[in-house]
Amino acid sequence: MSIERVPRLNRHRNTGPRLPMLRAAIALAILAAFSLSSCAAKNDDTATATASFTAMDTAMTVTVHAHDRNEADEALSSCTEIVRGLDEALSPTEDGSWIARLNDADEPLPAPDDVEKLIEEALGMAEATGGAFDPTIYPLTSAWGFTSGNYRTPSDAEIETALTRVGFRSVDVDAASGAVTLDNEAQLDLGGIAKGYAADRITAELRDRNATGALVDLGGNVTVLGSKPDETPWTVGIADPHNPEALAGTLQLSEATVSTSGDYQRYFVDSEGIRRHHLIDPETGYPAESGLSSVSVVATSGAQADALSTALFVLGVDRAVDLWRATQNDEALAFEAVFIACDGSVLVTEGLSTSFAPSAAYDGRVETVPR
Amino acid sequence: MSAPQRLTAQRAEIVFAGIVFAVAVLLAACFAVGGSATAGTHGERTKAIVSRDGAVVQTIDLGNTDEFDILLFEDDRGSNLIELDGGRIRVADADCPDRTCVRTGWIERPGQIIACVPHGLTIIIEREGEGTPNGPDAVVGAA
Repeated sequence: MSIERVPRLNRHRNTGPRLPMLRAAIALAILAAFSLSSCAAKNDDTATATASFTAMDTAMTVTVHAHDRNEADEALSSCTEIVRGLDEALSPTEDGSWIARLNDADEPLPAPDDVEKLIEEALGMAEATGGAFDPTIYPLTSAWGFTSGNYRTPSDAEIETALTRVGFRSVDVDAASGAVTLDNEAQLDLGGIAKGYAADRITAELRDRNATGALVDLGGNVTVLGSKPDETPWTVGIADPHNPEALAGTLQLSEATVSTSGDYQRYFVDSEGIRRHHLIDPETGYPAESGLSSVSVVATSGAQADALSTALFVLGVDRAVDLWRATQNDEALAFEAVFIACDGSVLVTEGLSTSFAPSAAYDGRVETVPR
Repeated sequence: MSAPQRLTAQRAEIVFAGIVFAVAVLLAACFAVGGSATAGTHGERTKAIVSRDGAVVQTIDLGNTDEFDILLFEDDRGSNLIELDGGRIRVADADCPDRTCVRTGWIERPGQIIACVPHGLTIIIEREGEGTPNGPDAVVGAA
């Protein structure tokens, strides 16, 4: 007994070297536990579901990260449902769609709930941009053939006639009944805002479902939500308008939506050799000539970013920057933008100056617009 | 007097052994998880996913850069002839009215997409996680 006891007591007294060992072991255990939990967060606790499909005349890809496979799959299918529902209601060329019936109707037509909201947002953006974004531009885009793909340059008389039918104040939404009335032979086309609105509906759905992150690409309108599984910010590239295969630069973003309008996206060269693009100025009836090749808008609302990218392109840099400054303190309307001019110069509003990184082709050509 | 001291000594040893064991298990588990993730990122080959109306109809391995193949996808809306060549893919021909899918040309980078809206057909190069080490997660304004 005593023989056994002595070495133990000796060892026990000899605490000097053992306590640091214990501390080291505990520290190591804590470290290991932390690294395990972060490994688990990256790999075990998230599942990813992705779908690619066509809707609203374009290709869409939605990627959802959630806590498990079921959550990810269910969230994804409810996102595609939302897009399909809006697409069915809003296709102006589809016979029998709600919007086609409205454009043919002689009397007020009640709108489905989310379409009514969308129309109200569209009218709000038309008001905020002084009509540079106008959801009643359909007679003009149609005269130029951009709605059918049969591109043509209309006569001045045709443009004059179409212009009389364009004006967002001809749209009336009865707040009580949700009925929509079109005056002055106006026609409604929500194509310039519907993808952004769909992104907002998707974002709300994914937040409700506690998705950990999502990348929603609705035909080049990109919305990022939450974080990537590796917890780095999302990187969204901006296509180079002078070489759309390449990038003009990238933006590091989280919880934001980006929308781009450019003169290279849809255009034709007419019989006089003039290049005609699809961003029609609602004031003149002709493709906007603002010296810009593309405008990318970053905002928290997809509908706003979508409508604003068109509006800012039509307005041109000076009036667009005025609008940016005027809305700085308006939380509901604030946005940031990247302007790429026809001469290859790039203007970035101050809020994006640190998140925008130009590609090699644009290095040294970027200026920041101060507040 | 001596009994409690002995007990204390034994407890310290047991605690120490327990901690060492726990550390070993945690480290092993973490390496296992981290190791499999690493293998997933670097071992996985690029794939092209062909979908019709949002449902995957075929997954094509683009990792074999020597491979050449022609695939025909058709339904009652029409047909798309898909060409596979050295790790890239394109719609070589289609009978859709706008032929936007054909004009898109070759795609090969993760996240790139070809869409034939009239036929409800999409081809996307699968993202490994999100984006690639040097590429963006998505692109705005691509024509």
